Amino acid sequence: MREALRNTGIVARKELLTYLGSPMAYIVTAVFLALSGFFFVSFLAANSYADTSIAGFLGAAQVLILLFAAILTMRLVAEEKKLGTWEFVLTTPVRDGEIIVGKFLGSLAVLCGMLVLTLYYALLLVLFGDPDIGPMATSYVGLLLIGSACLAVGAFASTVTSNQIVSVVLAGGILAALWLLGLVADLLPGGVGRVLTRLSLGGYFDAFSRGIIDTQAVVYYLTVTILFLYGAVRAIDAGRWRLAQSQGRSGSLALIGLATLFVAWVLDFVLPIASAIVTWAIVAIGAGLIVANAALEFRRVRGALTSSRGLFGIGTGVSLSLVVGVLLLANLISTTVFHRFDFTGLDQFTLTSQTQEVLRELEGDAGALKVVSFYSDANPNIEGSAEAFAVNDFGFSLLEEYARYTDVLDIRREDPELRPDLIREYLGQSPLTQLAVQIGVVVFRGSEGQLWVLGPQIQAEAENAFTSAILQTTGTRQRIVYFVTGHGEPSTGGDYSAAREGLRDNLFQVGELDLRRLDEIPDNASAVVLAGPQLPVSEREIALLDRYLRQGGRLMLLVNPNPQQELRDLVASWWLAIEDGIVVDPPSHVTPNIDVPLVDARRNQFGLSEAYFPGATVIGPQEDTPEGVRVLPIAWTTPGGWQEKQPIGRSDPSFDDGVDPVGPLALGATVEAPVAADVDEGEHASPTTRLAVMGDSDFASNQHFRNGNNSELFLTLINWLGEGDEVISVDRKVVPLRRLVLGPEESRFLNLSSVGLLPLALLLIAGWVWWRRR
Amino acid sequence: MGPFDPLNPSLATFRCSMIRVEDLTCYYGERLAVDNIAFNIEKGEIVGFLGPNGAGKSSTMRMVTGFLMPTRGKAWVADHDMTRDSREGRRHLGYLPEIVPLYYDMTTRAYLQYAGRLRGLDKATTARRVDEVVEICALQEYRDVLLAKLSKGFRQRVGLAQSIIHDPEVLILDEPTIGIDPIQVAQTRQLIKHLGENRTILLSSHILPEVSMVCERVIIIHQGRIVAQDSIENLSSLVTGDEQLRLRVRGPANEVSGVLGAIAGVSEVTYQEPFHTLRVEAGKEPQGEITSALVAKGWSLLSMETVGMSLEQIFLQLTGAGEGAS
Repeated sequence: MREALRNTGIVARKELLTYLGSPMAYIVTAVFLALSGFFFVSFLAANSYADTSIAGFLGAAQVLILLFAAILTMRLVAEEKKLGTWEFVLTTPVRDGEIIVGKFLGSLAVLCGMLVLTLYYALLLVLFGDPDIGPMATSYVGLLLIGSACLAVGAFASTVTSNQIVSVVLAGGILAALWLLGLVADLLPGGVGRVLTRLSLGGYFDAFSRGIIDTQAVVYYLTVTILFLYGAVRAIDAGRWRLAQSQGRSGSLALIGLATLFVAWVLDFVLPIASAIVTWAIVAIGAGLIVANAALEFRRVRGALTSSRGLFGIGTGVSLSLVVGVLLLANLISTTVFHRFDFTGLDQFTLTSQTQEVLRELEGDAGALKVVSFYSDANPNIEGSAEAFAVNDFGFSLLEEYARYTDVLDIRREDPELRPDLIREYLGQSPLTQLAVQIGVVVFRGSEGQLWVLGPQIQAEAENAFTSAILQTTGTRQRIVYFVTGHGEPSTGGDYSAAREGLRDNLFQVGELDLRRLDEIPDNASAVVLAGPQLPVSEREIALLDRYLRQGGRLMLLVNPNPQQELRDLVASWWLAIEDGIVVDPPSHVTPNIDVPLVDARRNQFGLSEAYFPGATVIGPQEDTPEGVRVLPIAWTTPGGWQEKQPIGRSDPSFDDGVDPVGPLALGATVEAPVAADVDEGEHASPTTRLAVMGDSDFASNQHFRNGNNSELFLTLINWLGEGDEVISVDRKVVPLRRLVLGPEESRFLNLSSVGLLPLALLLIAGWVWWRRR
Repeated sequence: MGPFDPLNPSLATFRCSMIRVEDLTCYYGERLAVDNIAFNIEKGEIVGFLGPNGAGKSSTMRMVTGFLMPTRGKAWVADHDMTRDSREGRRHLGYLPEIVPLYYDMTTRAYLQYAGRLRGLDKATTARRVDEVVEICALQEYRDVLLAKLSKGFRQRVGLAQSIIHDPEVLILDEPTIGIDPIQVAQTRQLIKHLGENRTILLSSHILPEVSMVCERVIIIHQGRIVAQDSIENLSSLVTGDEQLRLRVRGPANEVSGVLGAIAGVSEVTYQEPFHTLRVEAGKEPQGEITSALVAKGWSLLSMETVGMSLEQIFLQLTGAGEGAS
């Protein structure tokens, strides 16, 4: 082992010195740096500097690195063959593996040097902004891994030929094919596509640039590296045997085992998770065959693995099967047991366990939930456009994380300017559409309806919003509004069916609640509605509601004039007063009914232009409320209205001074109060109690619900009650907006030095090296 | 002789074979390059490996060094099977391939250091050995010159230096004097002879004088087969059984040739200033008659010596015969 390290080190050192002693490496690096510098600054400029990432450089580098690796490695072995030094190297007591790994490490050192130079971009960002260091670090890990894989492919190509041009073409071809697999995979449906995606060189890189280190990706890149280095070692041995005819059949078992493992690996993507047992059974068979073969051929295998005499010596494939088998197994395991390390500043891309669980349990056909993220490229002429772009770009990256856990999601990003048809399809045509497109919007469309998540929401609580949207649009979990029954209330199947429809359109579920049979209000209640009871509500039921409220419950109470005393007492304990009588509002009513007050935009909490309440009572806020309690009227009458204490007969009611309370009178009120400290933590439904009381229940009945803004009032109140009661509650992480602060001088310096400085320096070194050698 | 038995050390110390080859056969695809050859070189021998271009010399040497694997048969170096644990064998081996293996962007010193390190020497030993081989190969002035700038002869010397950097027991040199000027050839030969004082050397060449000057024994290979292997003297007699006499006579050359040719037992006379060379039939000893015949004519005999047959002649005869036979 020690000798192996020593020999590898000697070869690596020599290769590195050879690179450093020739102008080629400097020129290639200069070209690489010039191109990546150009892409680095042009990406920043395109985003109006509202970004502090090296994304531009990374986008270019992950492709350039293929070419760079192919050129850098072309000389590794091919040149030695041409010079005749190969005969010298192979007759020294150094193992083939030591030579190959040494040469590979030599080229890797050059790659590292090159990447170190690109840290200049990161330095600029630190100087002029406040970049998130984590994603940069992981990007470099990713570049190093993808670079290793490319260099290994290049080393292999250089080993199988003595012509450097052939080597470049071969390496470039293999790398391009591995890269393009990803594009082909996108065109192919289902399992085949997924297998190809897993094989593709580029498919893994995005995660690294986002700040995530995925063990699957690490295993994949290391697999490619090891596989091609092993291939190079085998190629050396093949050269020694002049590709001599294989001499035995002793490896056939192992080769069958290898094929079995490969089948298992493919099945792992094609079959649903339920068939995991089948997959692993096949794995066991395959691995068993290889191990059995290795045991039977123990001596030969040992020889194959320890001496330079390998595959073609034993002529069997046992050694091949062992190496490839182990790699395949590692990949197979990595698809089931994997971990993603998140190095972003706020763990932005680490989905919470709740979200992961939601996604794993998500039911539905593949692609059943369409998620479309609309945003256009940053436009420097529009204020805030770059920020919106950054936020939405982050949102889409996060959605890609979501898509890793389930195939029910069908995510795509669309430019609204290019696809007006999609805008119409998903967003419709309204004034809001224009705004949504401007600030960016993600539309979730599932079997149960569709939801928008807007840019600012993404920035503030992306995961919360996305997961809730998924739960709601798939009908997996919804907010439930319970209507209390049993006292002659209008039923959700009858007089309140329009209200029920309205709630469903807003992705609420509607349930009924018979308090007489319950000991407590269900936990999953988003709000409880007690609307217009005609029979007395028992004291026990009222106590139940009161306890619910004191634990942070959400209650909507719609009472009609002259309710029972117990309800008045309940409301009174929440700082509201109900008095006898019916509201009349001569200046503003729905003609001809003077007892149907009409409320305009100036006289309600929500600025609704028109709402009315047939036969309403006054819900009067009490004067002295304790600190922390907020009581607000929902809607109120004109000063010309009053509460008529006399029953309204045929004649017009008249105002009785001193008897009838005078307007403006509150027709309803909301109460928000913190939960008292002595309530047990475990009983908390939420930290605040919310109560909405309207002095009328008819406004939400079928006859009136769709008129005016009555439905909006009802739904807004329900939404207000349900606020803070998300279907899922996860940590909120606000996406920090980072930008570069540059004056004109600084911006010119950034541009010129990124593109020009390093390449120029390297070209000078190249010239100096060339001159010295002459 | 049967295959060597590694479990019998007494035999090993007794025979001490350094390079051994059995049934060695090498195909390049369909083409047969080396056909079932066998030989054995013992410790301390300098053996010439002789044959025309394309005879299979280089292929054989590559198989002995482990650079190529034989299609059939085996080669041992210092008792290590080069088809099984060639790495052990390679430790005992210095090798100068036909194309001198040089990294032209390195200096002599850097290259020799690299070679030494690859051959398993530690840093200090490498530094010491580099100085030694530079001196042995007379490369002192070129120590820090880029190999690209060296002339052919010096490149050859650097190649040789590389092969002895680790002081190997076995040295395999493929055409070590090819393409260098006559003065350097002589120097190189001297060097090889010097190296052979305490090493086993297998040296290939198609330049015959070189082999006859340096080697004690030759193996002649033609079309992949060994056509002869023996000491140079034995070979001479093996080929024809004839001997040669070389005379220096003061007298008219043509007449002298006529007189000598008439003597019984002399089958052929050639003259090349200043010598007459006579081929003598086997078993005959015509020296007395020659002397008296010359004296009778009044010519004086300045010198007369018995010489073996020249390697060229043996070589031509053997390979020519081989061609005739096939």
